[in-house]
Amino acid sequence: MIEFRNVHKSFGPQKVLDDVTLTIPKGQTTVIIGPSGTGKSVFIKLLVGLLKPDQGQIFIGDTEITKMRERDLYEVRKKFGMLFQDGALFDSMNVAENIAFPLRQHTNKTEKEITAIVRAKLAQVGLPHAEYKFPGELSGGMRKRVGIARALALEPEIVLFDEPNSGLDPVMSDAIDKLILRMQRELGLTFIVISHDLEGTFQIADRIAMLYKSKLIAAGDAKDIRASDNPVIKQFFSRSAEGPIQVV
Amino acid sequence: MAQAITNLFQTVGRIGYFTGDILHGMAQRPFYWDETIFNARKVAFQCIVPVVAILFPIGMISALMGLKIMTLFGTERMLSSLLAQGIVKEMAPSLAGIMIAAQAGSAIAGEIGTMRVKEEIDALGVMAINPIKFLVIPRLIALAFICPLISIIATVSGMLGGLLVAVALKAQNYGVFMANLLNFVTLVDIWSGMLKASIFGVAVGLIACYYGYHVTGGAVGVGKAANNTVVHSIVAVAVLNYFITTILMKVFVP
Amino acid sequence: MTAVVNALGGVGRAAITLLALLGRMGTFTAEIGHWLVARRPLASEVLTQSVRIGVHTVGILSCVLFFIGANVALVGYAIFKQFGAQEMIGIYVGLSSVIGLAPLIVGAMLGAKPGTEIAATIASMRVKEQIDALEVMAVNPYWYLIVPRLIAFLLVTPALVGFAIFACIAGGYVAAVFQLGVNPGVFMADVVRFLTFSDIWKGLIRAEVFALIACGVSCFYGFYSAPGPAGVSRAINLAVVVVSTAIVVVNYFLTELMY
Repeated sequence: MIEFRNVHKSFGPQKVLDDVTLTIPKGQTTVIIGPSGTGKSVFIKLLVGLLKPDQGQIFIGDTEITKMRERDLYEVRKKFGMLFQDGALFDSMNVAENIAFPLRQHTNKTEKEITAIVRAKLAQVGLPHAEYKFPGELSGGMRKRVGIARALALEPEIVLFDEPNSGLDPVMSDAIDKLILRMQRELGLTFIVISHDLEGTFQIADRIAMLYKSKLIAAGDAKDIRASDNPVIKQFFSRSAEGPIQVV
Repeated sequence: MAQAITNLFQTVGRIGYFTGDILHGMAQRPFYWDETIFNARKVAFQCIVPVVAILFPIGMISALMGLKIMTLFGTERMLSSLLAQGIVKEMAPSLAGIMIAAQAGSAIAGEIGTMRVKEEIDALGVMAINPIKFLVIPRLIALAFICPLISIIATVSGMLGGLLVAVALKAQNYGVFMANLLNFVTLVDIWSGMLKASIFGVAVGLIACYYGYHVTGGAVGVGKAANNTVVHSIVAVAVLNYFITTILMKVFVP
Repeated sequence: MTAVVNALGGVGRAAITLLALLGRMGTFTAEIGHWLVARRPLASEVLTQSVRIGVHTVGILSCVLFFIGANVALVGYAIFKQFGAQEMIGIYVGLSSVIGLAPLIVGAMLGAKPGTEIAATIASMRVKEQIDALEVMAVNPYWYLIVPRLIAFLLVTPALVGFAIFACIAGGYVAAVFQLGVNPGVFMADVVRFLTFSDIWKGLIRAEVFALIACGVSCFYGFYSAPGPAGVSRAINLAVVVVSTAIVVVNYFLTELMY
């Protein structure tokens, strides 16, 4: 279970997260949605400790990460896997080396075991036979698949997805959503997804939380949120430029 | 090794073609005066601080080492004339050339490369503006005229650095220093230094524009272009410097 | 009056920016210092980087120094000739190669070639979120990216200084003997006449300091690069200019201290 308690974060005069309190349950997919520039990426960076909140506390399970020292934070981070927007694969390594990287850094597994894990993860994300390709040779969708395989390599408890649909065509987008859904059902892990893609959100979300103008305006079961009559949520879901959300 | 040499010749050949395009562009109207003046100001402001920051300590260290050696022979009085000659003929133009390569070269490659990546160069073409005439030629002309001026500033700051060490730190006589300063410096030395600087400027500009203009592949490509520009223009300055010195010696030293 | 106030405000803002920059450089240096000792660096990374940096630099460095050496001989000859002291040319080439030029140009070329490469690599890793990815995978980027490169710079520098001295004197030799007609035996005897062993190791120490500056500054500007192609090219630009300026300034103080 992950908990945000009264978290505030600003950059200079600009408030990015304003008094956010949110509980993310274990073993489900929670999607954080909201218009661009509402602090979704900051939310995820706070969660893994890349940023520190100005005020408030963040708990991963029972441990508070907010005031943790860097070294202990690194231990906590081993529980996380993360898919970055464009995969963030290392250009100097091929696909297999990228997936093996966290294993080589943090485990004492033999090369044989590592190779087996790499193969298994690649099969899991539907990309067998791509081991020796370099990130530059992959399409956007393939890079995301390899990114997911790398995120899962260390058997994490929590997996974060930063805009899994960004930069993909609708067909590839749907394929990635189906992959996320299937992985969650198979592995039963806690998935946290940041998105502004509605189709994908409805497909994969057990729970939805919405950020708007740096505040958390709604959080709950996916079907409750979809039925909400909050005008901001309604406007966002109907993909309309008319309503309380300022377009310009 | 063979590969590297083939690559070198290929690149030189391509820069040759590029120069052909530029000369062709120069022969035609219009000439973008505003762009030229804008770039000249920009290059001047970008380069003055780094050039002074290099030449001043170089002047200081030359005076320091020079004094050390000359004290051995009891010829301290000669310090300023040797220093001035070294700076005017050699250090000012070549070090100014290297700093222009580092500062203006990487900046120009970065600017033009960024425009290429963001498709701004294609946009110019679509608007019927020849990008070589609009982007490249003004920068080359600006460098050709600004670099000699920068070299003069470099000369003065190098001499000031030498003066500081000799007179203020090592207690040499100010009057003797100033009196001997320009003893051996001829007018030919001064303008040949300026000519050198101008040639270095054009060479740096050509390399920077070439790499910037032919960038492929996003931010990484722009980084590579800036990197190549710095390295290859420093090599070009060193090599050209040697050949220009040889020619000047053939022409002016009896 | 308002002009004065504005000017003061401008100076104040510049001072604050400068302080912020120095502060960031300070924490950056402290982090590197910490990770240099906190955890053993990856030997394989150090080795790969050393080979890469050495191989990438040595050719271009030798080429530049060869021509600089040749030019030094030509200009030195012309200047000394006015005093009828052109026989000093060998002494001049030897001293200026070993004491003056080789360490300085090694530092400058380390900044220009592998330094800008590192700045570009780290900057584009930052832009593509790869540095964040390292952090999330619980691998410290200072330890993984910067420390091995720093050690590699220090390891390859002595070899580079050797190549540099050789190339510089070779250039001087070619110009003096083939262009100016100096006797080759006399030239070589003069080159080593006033050189002592301490000149070489003092040059080495200076080159190591320059290598440290070149690597640290390049990594710093790469690490804090702004996003996008403009950010990357700005990082490279700042890295080269700051490296070369810092090296020349530090060189003055080291020389004053050592000789």
